[in-house]
Amino acid sequence: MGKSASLNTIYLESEEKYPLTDTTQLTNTNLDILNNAVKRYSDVLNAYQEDVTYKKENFDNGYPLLDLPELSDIYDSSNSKKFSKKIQSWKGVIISYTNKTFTAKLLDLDAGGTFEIGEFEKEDISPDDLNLLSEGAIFYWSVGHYMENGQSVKRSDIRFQRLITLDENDIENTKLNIERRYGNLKERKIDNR
Amino acid sequence: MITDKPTQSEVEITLIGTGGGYGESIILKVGIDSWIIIDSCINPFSNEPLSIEYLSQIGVDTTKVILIVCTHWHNDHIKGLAKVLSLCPNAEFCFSAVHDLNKFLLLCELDNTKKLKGGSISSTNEFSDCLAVINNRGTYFTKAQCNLVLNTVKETGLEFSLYALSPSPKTISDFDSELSQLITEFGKRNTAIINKSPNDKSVALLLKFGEHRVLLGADLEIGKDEYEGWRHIVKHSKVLDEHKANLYKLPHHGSENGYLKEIFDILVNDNSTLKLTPFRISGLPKKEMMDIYLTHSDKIYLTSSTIVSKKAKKRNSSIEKVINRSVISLIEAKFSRGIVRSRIDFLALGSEWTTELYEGAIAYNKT
Repeated sequence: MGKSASLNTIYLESEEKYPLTDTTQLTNTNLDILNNAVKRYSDVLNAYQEDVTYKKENFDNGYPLLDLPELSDIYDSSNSKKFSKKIQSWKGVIISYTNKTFTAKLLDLDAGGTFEIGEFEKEDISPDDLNLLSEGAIFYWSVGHYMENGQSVKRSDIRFQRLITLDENDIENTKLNIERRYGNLKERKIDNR
Repeated sequence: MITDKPTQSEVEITLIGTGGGYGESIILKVGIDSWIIIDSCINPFSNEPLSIEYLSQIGVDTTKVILIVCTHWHNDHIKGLAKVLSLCPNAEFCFSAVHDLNKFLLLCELDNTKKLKGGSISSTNEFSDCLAVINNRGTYFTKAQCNLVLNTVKETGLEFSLYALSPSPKTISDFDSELSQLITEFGKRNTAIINKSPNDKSVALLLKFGEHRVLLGADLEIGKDEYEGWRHIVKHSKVLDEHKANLYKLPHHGSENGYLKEIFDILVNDNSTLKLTPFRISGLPKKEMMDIYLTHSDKIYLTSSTIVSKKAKKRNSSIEKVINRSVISLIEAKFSRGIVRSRIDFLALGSEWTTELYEGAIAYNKT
């Protein structure tokens, strides 16, 4: 069991730190841990709604504080929370888009080898991701089994990779890397003919 | 047979293509046994560079490779180039000129940092890996620009000189401004680097030996005016002479923006050997352009057919059903290796190029 934190905070952090990969698997054990965590979260929320005197220090920015499992240990994909089993996935980079559609180069994360070019409807992107759509944007497209009302159905899902910001430290480290990686470069100067 | 090595008195110009998407590469043999590799392509299933595979097939030791040229940093020309460099220990590295190499390196390294965070699949990573290889082993690099002789081999009483015809001074200057903008915009969003016009920076090359000329067009486009691209070359190049080329690797997969009639008026003889690599998934070359090239020569060779498959990869039928519901279209960029090899005896008077085709390569004609 990990540190105390709100489920929402953990979810957001895990999504940034552990972007979708093709190695993500949710085991039954992990699903049980998650289900228990959600149930406890739900119980606290109910308690809060029923009892307005519930201690405010038990909340962080409006979310109840709980002793929850470290999600990063058991799951590293925003997408896999929906899939009970992922069958096929691609990493895509958008090469063009119109008002209604977008076209992307797709790398097969399962079989490797040749790439594909796919054209998609923009309406298939979730509203949360729509503002991330731009030329060069990276997304993950997966096909798998979903659980819907207790039924397993095959569906496809597109999730855009969340924002990555390079901070001051990244910039400074990058400059140091230039010296380390390229400090011995030797240019042969040739006069113009 | 693909296994035979050229004789000591033969120049070889071999174009290797993949059908588009996995690169093209040109292999030159000059002098008695000196080899030059221009750009790189890979087998997407093994990730092995096809240039190295070819040299191995014909029994050439990679220590004989003296120069490796990166014409521009598009994925279809640079894939596997760092591995090629590392396998050719004596090769120097040459790439399109940038005024401020440190600024370009900053862009490459920022992209590398982003890649480590999962946010880039850019070809700058391959380029920076190339520089790291030559940095570690201490071989030289050269920044190519118009009117530079990149390499000269003097053997058998002849000079074999490889000249850069581009980029032009204006293109290099424009790229400097573009670099500053790319760096300024970098890092905020999770997107790959979008450099709209690396083709502008392509290094077109001219090989001279005796009275023979070979023109290698890279992906160079014609440019907006006489200060860019092929328009700059035909108007301002200082390395052209009275001899025209008899072998021409057509630029940019035979696209319309790589064709300029003046190239044939000034640089290329009628009925020369013309070669190109199709980029099938982009529909290149178009039939209209091939018809134009047929007016210049009936000796046109392609590394693969131009027929485009509209199919996705074959998968389990239940997955295909979900895929078909989810996309408007899904097309696999098929890999097909094709080799167009030309040789000429540089000691024999009046000798002409002979061309052989291997695997997916075809001769193009009107039918």
